[in-house]
Amino acid sequence: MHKALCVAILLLPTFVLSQESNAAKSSTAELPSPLIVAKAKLKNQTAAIPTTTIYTPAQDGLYRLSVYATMITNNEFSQSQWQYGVAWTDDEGSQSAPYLLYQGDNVLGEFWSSENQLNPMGGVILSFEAKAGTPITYNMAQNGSPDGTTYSLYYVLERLE
Amino acid sequence: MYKTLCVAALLLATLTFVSGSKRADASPATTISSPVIIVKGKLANLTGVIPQTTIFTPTATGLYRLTVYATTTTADPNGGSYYGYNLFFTDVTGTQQSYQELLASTDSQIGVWNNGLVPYSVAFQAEAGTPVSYSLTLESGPGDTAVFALYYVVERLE
Repeated sequence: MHKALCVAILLLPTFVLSQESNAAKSSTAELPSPLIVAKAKLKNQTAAIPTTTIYTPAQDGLYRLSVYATMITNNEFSQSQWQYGVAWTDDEGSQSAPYLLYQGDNVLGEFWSSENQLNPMGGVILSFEAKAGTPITYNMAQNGSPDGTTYSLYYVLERLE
Repeated sequence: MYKTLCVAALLLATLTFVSGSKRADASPATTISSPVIIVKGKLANLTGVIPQTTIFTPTATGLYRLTVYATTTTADPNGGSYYGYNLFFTDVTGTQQSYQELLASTDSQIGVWNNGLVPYSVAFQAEAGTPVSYSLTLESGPGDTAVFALYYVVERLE
């Protein structure tokens, strides 16, 4: 009796662990989740950011970038503009989206998307194919004179396949 | 001997349960390796405007992504109106931000809403404790009898 009880109790954790592992496998098979390969929060930036590597893929694949930027401190007299761009290399060669997000330095809040210039349509989702061994890069340029403005930039890059 | 063995086994079983539950709680708060769906919805048989309504209130400040799809399931052949889907959130600046007319209907036609763009995903940074909300507003015309369906998913990205 004692022997049976002990065996049952000993088997219990193994059973629990194997169930958890089965559940995870099953969930992955039904709806695999994209893998986050790079992310960053760059708060209170006051200067341009030169071309910077986000990630260099180890394999060819489809990637998705989600990016949001917001002006923390504006300068109402400024004529300058912050411009965020991304570049990558696909099957054809070098590609870029040089003005993916932008914001006039005299305006507070969310950057605008170059996809829609009537309303702020905000943080952009950009999907692209990138070749192994070629860097995915971004930059933040200031079109105009420095003006004491401050922005924050947030991004996440996922590999979809 | 058996007693000792049983006590040890019971402790092992308890430890397995406890550490398992700690893993699940701790993981999202520290770092995530894949986007996490935190809220989703399917709203069928909608008609008319929807006032500003909370989708969710973040418990953590972070980068979020909304994917939204809307379609007119029953058109109003005489409908000259159109409705817009709007998103509201509060980012690190502390002021409410909005995306107006992310999607817009054409009430005289069935089918997918758009705004000159493909059905939409947007990224936004939201502060903990501030509601993320949406509304459907009448953008043009007197309103009509068109019926809509709305689908959405919000993921936390970091």
